[in-house]
Amino acid sequence: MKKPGVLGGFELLVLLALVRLGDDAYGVLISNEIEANSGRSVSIGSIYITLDRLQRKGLVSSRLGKPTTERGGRAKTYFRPTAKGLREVRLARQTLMRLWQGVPQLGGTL
Amino acid sequence: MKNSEPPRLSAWLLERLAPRQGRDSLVGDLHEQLHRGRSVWWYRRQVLGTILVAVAADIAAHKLLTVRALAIGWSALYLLYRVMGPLIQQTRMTLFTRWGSALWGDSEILRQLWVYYGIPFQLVACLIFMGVGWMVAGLHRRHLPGIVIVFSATLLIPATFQALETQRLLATELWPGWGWGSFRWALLYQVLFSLVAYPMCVLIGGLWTARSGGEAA
Repeated sequence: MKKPGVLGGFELLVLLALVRLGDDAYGVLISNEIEANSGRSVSIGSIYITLDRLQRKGLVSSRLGKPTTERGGRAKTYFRPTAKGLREVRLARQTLMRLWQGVPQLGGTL
Repeated sequence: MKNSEPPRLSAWLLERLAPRQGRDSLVGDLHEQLHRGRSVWWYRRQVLGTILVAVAADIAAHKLLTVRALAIGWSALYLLYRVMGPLIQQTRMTLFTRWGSALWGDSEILRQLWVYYGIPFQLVACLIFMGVGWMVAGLHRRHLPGIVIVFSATLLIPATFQALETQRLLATELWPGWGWGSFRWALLYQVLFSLVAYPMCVLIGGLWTARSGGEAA
């Protein structure tokens, strides 16, 4: 079990994608956002599994949209980070920044 | 015009094996992408990826429950084997003496296969595996897909050893000197049942639970 305040790498990517996308974030857009910025292929199912975990940690909230025929009559679920989720992202950023400052020899070479 | 209907088998698997939380939205997302021009192969890859990630996440989060499910499943299989073994042996011998020669003619290899791996035995075994899969899934409905898949996958381990041992016995003791060509049907038969049909029976039995009331628990 992870300690509070420690986000997994993929959890951090999903949370950052939510912050970037704002109120319209749902499975497909989140997946596209991560793929476009990380260059790695991401299955939409793994996004939902991670979002479920983040939701249980209280870092993400969700709301249901309206079902459409294009989606086979299924509704979209929109996600957004909670205040606690945003705090965790800031904390992760600070931790990463501190750690990067400790390895100046890699600065600018990647 | 591009076909935007999801492939049936993938859609069926997704409905049963994707995590319950968010399943409807996930199905809708994949449907939407298919409608917007993604290929059915993309859809299949998404379904497979989702199932694998879901199983891994489920097992990682519930290790003790997984161990319990495996212990229950294997204990049940062992008990049933001990109880049903003599009955199965009697059934297959009786059926062999009645119909065996009519079915297999003069072929010694097929006659031996019928004696040692008769169809009635396999049928009973399939039903047993389905029943055990159903029971294990019924006891772990909250974590159903991951646990049922892992339990059925564990059947492959002894089945592989059994298949190799049977081939060794055929080659060295039962029909020595017949050459490997004579054993290809025996090998096919064993692979079909031990490595494909039995694990599938466990999966079907488990997924039946998902279909007939997995929402409860």
